[in-house]
Amino acid sequence: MKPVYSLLAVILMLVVAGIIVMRGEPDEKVGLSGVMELVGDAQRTAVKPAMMATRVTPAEEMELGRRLAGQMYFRRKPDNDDPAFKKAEQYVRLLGRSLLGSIARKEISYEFHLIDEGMVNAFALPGGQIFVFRGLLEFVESEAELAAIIGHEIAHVDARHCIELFQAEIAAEKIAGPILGGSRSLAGIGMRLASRIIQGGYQQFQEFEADARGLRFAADAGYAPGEAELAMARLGMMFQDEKRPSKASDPVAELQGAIKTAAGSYFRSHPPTAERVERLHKLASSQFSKKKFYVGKENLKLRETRAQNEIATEFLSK
Amino acid sequence: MGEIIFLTILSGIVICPLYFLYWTISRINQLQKESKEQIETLEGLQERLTRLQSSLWRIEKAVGSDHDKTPVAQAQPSHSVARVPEKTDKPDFAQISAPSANSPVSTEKPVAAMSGRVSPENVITGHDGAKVQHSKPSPDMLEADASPGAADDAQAVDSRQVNAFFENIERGAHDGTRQAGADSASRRSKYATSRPERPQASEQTDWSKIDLESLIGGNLMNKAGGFLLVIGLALFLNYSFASLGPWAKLAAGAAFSAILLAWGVFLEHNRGGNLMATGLIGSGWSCLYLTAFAAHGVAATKVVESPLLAVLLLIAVSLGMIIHSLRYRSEVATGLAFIFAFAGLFVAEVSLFSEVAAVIMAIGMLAVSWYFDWHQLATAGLLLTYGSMLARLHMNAPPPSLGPLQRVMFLQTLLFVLWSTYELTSMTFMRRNPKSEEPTRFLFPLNFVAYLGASLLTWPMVKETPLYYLAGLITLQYVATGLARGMWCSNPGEAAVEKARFFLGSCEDSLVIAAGALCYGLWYLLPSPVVVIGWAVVGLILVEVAYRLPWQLMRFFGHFIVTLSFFRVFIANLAIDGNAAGISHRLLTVVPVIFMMLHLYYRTDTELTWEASPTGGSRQFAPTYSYFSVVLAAVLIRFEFGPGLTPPIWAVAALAMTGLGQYLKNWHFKRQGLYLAVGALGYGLGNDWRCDSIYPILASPWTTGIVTVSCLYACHWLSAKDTVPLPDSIISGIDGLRPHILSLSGSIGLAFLLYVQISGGYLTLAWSLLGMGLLVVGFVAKDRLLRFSGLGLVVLCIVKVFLYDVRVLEAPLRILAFICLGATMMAISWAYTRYRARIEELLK
Repeated sequence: MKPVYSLLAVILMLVVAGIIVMRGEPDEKVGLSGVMELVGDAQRTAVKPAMMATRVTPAEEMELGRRLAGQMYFRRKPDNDDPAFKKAEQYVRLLGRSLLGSIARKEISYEFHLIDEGMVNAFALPGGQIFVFRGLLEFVESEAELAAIIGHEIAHVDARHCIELFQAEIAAEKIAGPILGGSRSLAGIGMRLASRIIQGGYQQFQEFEADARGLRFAADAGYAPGEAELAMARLGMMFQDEKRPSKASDPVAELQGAIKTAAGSYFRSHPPTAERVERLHKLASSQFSKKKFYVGKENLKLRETRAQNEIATEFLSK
Repeated sequence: MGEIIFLTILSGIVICPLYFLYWTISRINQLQKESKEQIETLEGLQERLTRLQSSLWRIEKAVGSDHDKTPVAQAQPSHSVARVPEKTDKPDFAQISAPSANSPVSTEKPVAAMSGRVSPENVITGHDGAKVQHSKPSPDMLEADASPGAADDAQAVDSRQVNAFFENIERGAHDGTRQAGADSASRRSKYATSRPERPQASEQTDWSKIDLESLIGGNLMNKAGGFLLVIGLALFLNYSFASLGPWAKLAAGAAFSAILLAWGVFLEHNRGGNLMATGLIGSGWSCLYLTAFAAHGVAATKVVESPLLAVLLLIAVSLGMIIHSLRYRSEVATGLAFIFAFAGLFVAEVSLFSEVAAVIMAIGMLAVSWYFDWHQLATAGLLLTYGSMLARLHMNAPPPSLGPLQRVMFLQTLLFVLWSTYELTSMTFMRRNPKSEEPTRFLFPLNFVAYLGASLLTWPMVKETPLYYLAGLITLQYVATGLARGMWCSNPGEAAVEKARFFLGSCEDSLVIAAGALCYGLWYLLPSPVVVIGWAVVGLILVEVAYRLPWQLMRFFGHFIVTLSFFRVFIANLAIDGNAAGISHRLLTVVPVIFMMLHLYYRTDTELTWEASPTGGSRQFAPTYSYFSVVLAAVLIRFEFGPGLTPPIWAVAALAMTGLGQYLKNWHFKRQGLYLAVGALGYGLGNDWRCDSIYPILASPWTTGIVTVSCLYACHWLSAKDTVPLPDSIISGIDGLRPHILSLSGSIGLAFLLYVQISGGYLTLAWSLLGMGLLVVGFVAKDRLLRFSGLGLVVLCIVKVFLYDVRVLEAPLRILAFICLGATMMAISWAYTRYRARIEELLK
């Protein structure tokens, strides 16, 4: 082929692509978050042998999880004997258990807790300790939304994200024990810091992975996958965690801004909500289109799971 | 009253340089007059000398019968004597006089009288007043004695003038002023007579003879000390002391400056001038300039309210500085003075007055550099002026008196004045002295880039005005002046080709700069993800145009822009959301760029190399473009399909690249295949071969793992056919290891896949079977590395059984693990024993 033909083809391709993108109101986001993501990928692979070498047994992991859960401040508060709270606690427990059908690590026994706090949040500890705040229960609008969020936390345990945060520390304490004796926790603290810095690079990847897996757990249990992005979008609106980026004043300022935000992007534990919503939308729309799913808005109000009370009108057909 | 005293002090300090100006100008005029007279005399002498030589030649010819006995005649053609001056500008009188001694004509004269000697007439006075001794032979004696008919000529010849003439010719030869054409030479000589000689010996330093300690302690410390003095003074003037009023501070500054100056002048007069004296004088002038500036420009010392008076004061001090620098004719000293003064301005607070002061200083600097033909000073001045202005604009402190539009217009006017001044000065440099074409040509784009940058930084203050209008206007301005100087600066007598080259060279510079400005404008105009496309189009067009016209600068600039667009993808196109017609914006913007890289690869790969091409080929860029396209494609796959699907797709791409490399015998493609394969394995390990897809087939680690590992083994199979080149570098050393790396990657990937999918005692069994399988395949395929991989896996199983299975597994699984491993090892052992002969045969 003559160079002029390939030249014309390439220029045509560039111009057409540019016009199409400009008509679609493209995102003005500029930064090194993409590069940081690639760096995180490389770090994840690099630390993989270390993670495999320092793996703990499921029993050790569950023991650690129980110990950590016992140290939480809200566990020291007196139990709430309110029947409504008890019912809600039972509801979370039953819903959580219904999501465990397709987990990979069957040897882990999960425990689900409801915390009597108004915070809109949920978190997981190693060994299957899943905590849901009362505020979250009041925030979600359907059982499917809650299932996606609890599924997300289950995925963190199932993918070993939680225990990997402690593996290096445990290994360091084991190795340093005979040498340092009572001061072995110093080695553990040092290793904890190091592992936090290294793992900071791929925490966002872990969040994406947990989103995807959690969505699958919920979908496998029959819950509508599209509800996850709704809940996430509302969370984003509630916390306003990001502003739409505006264009820098000049290219140098743009590059400066990108470099400045690179460190923040590296240590940011959760990815931008808009990006999570986008990915959840993709997963939900492309992969669950032919199934019949359950939403469970009424179930949430009644604090009765689908298994307890399946309501025919709560099925969503796409 | 105080104002008058202060101005009196300053004026007094300015009078001294004015005296120096008077002295210098009168001295220069005197020298010019003398030079002119000498040139006129020497031109007459040259003419007479030619006539005398012709006479000599006629005499020698007239000797007739003895001519063939003369060694001169045997050694040289008959007209050689007359042509000597034409060839060398300096007749070889030793050649003439030696044979003449043996000739009948010269026998009447003692030999000693014709030989070279040192006579009182040979000692002449140089321009600098030093006595210079010359030991050249005096041709007048030869001419006078050789030709009785030329006695009048001989009487008119003064040996001192002739020696001076030779000296002048020598100096001219040393300066290399004889290579230009007739027109340019006459133009140069015209200007040369009106320009003082540039001191050579005092300026040039033999750095090899200076040790580091002397350099730091003597030279650098001196400059740094002067710099710190000026900064200290600037801070002093800017600081609001409770007990020290503005007049006192200014007086202190002026006195300080005067002391520095006086000290420097004193040292210069008493010790003949040295680095210390130069530094002190430079610092003194800088401090004085700063003090004058502070009288109006610094709030803490503002005593002169009238801006006009303040400007006049600054001009007076600048003039003094310039005049004083004329006295020394030292580019370094003058440059230091200006640098210090700029430093002082930089420290001072930002105001319109400070901008005017910077412009005045720049014009002064240019005047000096133009007068002395100091290109380095001009370049430094350009950088200092625009640099300080840009830095100050970056501070973005708007003066309270002006609104944003007025401020922009004012600064823009200042910038235009600066730009025009530099442009005109550079043009006159080139027109006056064609030798300065190369160093000066660099000033044009530098001036333009600085002007454009400063303007663009100023303009955003007026938000409602589109910035690209300004960028376009400035670019047009530059293109127009580029064309103008192409015509104006060309020498009338130059050949047409030379003129065209210069003209087109200017076009090239202009277009390159215009392309840079266009890229900047595109950055403003286009949304962030589309900027890469705009840049890619500009770069591509530049490269293609430069192919048609052999313009190296444009071609390299085109490659540079394309490289920039490659890197921009990583900050503006990878992490974006959004889609159009169901296709993501990322895909839409990156894929065309990949195709562009492939086109450029194809284009550059069919070109000659830099060494082989007379116009500078760029074939060396071809591998870079192939890597650019592969890297972009790889990261696009990563972001479009996610980390889960990356390993199989990369592995397929690796297979394709390896196959392509084999087919085209291209090692770069083969290496890219290797890198992709290793990357695929890395992603697979990092993700546990898992994928986010909920399609059961894609989501299964078995699918991603087996596809990836199969591709890795296929790459290994293809690479095993290669003839490995001799390792002459690290890269070629890796080429030799490529098949091994691929084979090992496949085995590791397969073992890890089993690790992910099978747990406990079954894993031991699976690994044992895999090890055995690898051994068998290794024997069949005669692949030692596969066999080693199999054996290694079996050894790993042994370790696992004793370290993990025994401790962790429940009894049934533990038993299973031991039994399976034992059985596997027995099987291997049996196979080695049973088929020993065949195995040994296979191993051969």
